[in-house]
Amino acid sequence: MTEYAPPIPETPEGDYSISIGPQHPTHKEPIRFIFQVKGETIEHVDLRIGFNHRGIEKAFEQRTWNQNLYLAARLCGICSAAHQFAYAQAAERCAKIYDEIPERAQYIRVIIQELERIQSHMLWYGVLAHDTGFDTMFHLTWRDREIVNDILEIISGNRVNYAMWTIGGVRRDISRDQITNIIPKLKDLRKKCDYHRDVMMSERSFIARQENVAILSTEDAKRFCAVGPTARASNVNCDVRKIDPYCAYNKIDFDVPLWDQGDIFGGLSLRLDETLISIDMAIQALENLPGNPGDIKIRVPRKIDPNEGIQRVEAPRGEDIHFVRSNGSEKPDRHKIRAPTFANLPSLVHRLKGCQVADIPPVIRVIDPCIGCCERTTFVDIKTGKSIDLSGEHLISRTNRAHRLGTRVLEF
Amino acid sequence: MSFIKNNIYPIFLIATGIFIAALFLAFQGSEAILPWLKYFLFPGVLFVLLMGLFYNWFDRKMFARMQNRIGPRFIQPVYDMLKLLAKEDITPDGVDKPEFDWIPGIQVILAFLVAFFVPVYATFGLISFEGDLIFVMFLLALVGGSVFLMGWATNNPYGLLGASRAAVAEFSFEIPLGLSLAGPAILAGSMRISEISVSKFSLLNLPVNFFAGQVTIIHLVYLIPLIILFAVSILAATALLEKVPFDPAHAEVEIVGGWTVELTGKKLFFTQLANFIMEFALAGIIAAVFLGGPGINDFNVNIGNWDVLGYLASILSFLIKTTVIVFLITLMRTLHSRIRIDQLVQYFWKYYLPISLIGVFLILVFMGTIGVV
Amino acid sequence: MMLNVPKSLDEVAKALNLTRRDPKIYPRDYYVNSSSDRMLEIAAKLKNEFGVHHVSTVIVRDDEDGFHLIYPFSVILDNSEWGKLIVDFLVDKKNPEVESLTPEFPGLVIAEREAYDMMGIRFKNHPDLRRLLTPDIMPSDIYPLRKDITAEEIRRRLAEEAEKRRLDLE
Repeated sequence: MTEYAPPIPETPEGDYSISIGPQHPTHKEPIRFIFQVKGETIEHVDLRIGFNHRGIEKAFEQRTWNQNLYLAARLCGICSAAHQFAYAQAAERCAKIYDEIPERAQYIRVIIQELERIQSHMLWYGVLAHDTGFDTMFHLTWRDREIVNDILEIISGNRVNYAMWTIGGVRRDISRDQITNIIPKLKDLRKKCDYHRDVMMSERSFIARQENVAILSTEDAKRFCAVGPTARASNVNCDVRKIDPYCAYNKIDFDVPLWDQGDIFGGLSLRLDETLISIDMAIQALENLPGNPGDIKIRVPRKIDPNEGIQRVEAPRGEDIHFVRSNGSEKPDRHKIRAPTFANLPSLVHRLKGCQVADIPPVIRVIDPCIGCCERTTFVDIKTGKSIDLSGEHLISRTNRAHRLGTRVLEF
Repeated sequence: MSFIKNNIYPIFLIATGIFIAALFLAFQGSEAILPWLKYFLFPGVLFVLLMGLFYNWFDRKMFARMQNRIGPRFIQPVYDMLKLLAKEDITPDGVDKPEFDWIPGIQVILAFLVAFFVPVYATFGLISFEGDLIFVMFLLALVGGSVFLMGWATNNPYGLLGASRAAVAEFSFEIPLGLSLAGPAILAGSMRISEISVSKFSLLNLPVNFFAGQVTIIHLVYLIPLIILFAVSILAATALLEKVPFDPAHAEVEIVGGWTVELTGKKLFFTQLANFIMEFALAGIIAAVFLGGPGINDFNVNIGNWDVLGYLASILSFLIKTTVIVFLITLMRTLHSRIRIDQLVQYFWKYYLPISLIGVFLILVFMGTIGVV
Repeated sequence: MMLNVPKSLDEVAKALNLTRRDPKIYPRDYYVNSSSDRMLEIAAKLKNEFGVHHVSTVIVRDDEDGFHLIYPFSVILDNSEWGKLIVDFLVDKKNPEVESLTPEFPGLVIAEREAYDMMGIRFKNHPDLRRLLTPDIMPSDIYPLRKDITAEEIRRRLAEEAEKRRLDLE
């Protein structure tokens, strides 16, 4: 079975190898791909992750349930709410209070989730435009993305780490004034997103870079357990909000767009549609916000009896799954995070083969890689907070050695 | 005082300009010093350098404004160049040293050479002889060759990819570019840039001459092939200058600048400067061939040898036309995304080459049927 | 081949001869226990009879009685919802060697690599069992998420190893 990304063969398959990452303009986060290239065609791909490894899973075991909430938000910059959400819900399932969350809190959770999805998707398609050299669209989308960041700031006080969740509800309420302030902004944003959609779906040089590139068939998407928009672009209906509804998603009316080609253009059109749908969902949830103001959380015991909780949520990038195990103390016994990027890496390696070198940035972009979430677990010394890393001398000697070995991966 | 301190470079530049103008006027009668001034100051090295920087700023500013950004200050290209000059010049181990050291300089020389053929004022360029259009085409081909050699000399996977892409792109856009410039040359009956620019039948002169009663309405049919060829020449110039959408050889998000990947400091300065100057030179040549260059219709630019107003008017005309062409190139890169190298080859060979052939063919047919008066 | 679309997760568990462990609180979560020698059988049955194609991840938990290897299989129910059949395989602590499910579910290729990297579970028939996330200099006997090793210990060993490599290189 050759589709798994086996180690680099002793004799290279292509003419030469190109190393992309850990530092490369294509992706700002550290991940390394080693491509064996023949002419312009990619023959073989190997993947090296772990450069951004922080030991969060180990750190979770050494903090209390409430402290972990803020650690979970720092898994990732863009989908911090999704991780915090998954952790909070898994802990609620563990404490068996999942069904007692007030309805108002559930709706606020939906609103924050959808706003986060909007900002993440807008960021994504802006960066995709940049990757294909369409800088104009990049700047326009990022300008308009400020609106949704402002809305999140109105609600939570923060543009990035919203810290809205707590185990047993949400931390801040949304007032009547805020709702009347936010809804016109969302409607304005909808118009702008419509315009982005028109431009991106009609610019021919932009589409030419994406159509029929790196096709992931439905069968392959299922085989490699792809998640999120990557899988939905290959016609796998895997939206967790529909297939495994959580919080108030079964009370809100929405569609899940699907695309059957599995190419990059599918990922683009899907996300453009999802952005519009998410705006509608946020408006819908804001207009129908139930319950009494202030009734947003319930009390949770500090210690949770031995139990297990598993929760998946639909992060902007796909299914994000958290598992917690309690042992009766104030701290979790085990916490496991599986970020959507991690699940999409096998399918990414598969679909990169046979692409051209020029397709590398958009193909890597199509899974919306977030290496920060993907590699949660390195080694942080809990007492000093220092991360464990290699010494400077070692890095230098390692660089020298890498230089001698050419672009091969170092296997000490 | 702080005003002077903060704006020292613009003030320096303006002062230099005034000084040059004063020199020029003071020595305008002197036959001995005039050629030196011509080569080193006004249409020569300094002017070309400043125009290259100016058009770089113009390109970036327009690009930024169309993207809803503020864009660089007027003086920013100068700062960028000074910064590059101050940077450390690194020669990596694996490179092919002679090529690596010399090609950036050669590129600058080539760019200056092309720029010297541009008619800036009156009708002649600094260098002008019968058949100079062919020589310019040859120089442009040399630029492509130097890019390929540079990428090859870096001995870096990105550089090699960039070099091979640049070579492939060169084979694709060279022929449409040549054909598109050949059309007006055939129409003007000359291979000399200055004579093409004063031809009655260039894209801009044709309607003007029609309203002035110089040509009949039937001759306006030449506009069809000329517009086609003008468009193709802009596209080919975009490809030659390695600008989006035709810049797979340079694509910074995938191959990190392609053939320029290993260049630092002075070498990068020379390469970039060559690119800026080439933008100005190409725009100038296209302006001369299609839009009449510095010529002003109904205004005799040869009112005596040193008529200051006439010269100024012709320089202004040249600047406006060149700016329009640079703006068109900027517009191309604002409105499109980068295409792949296979798509570039496809576009040029499948669409632009036949289109330019049709353009030249139409010109020949019309010349055979209605003729040039 | 006709796929069996189950009405509930009970039906799946019954077909696999597994009994529910948790009290029935959440309709789409179904926890079952099993032992590691049944892994291949359960996975093949789920894939071939119930059309399971999505396994989210591999969770490994270090407990006193052994390693718990937890696979959340996504079973598509007849109302098109996906239930989680969370199968907890108990693995012997002395010799943590199990059959790999990667041949059945290729998407698990890096999830199982991560389990090997973090907990030292060795997967037989895994096509590419290398360490995934830890640094290249990680000593081969350290599996960082095991309970018997502390962050300080890992830090000390890594620093030692880095120093050793540096001396070797010089």
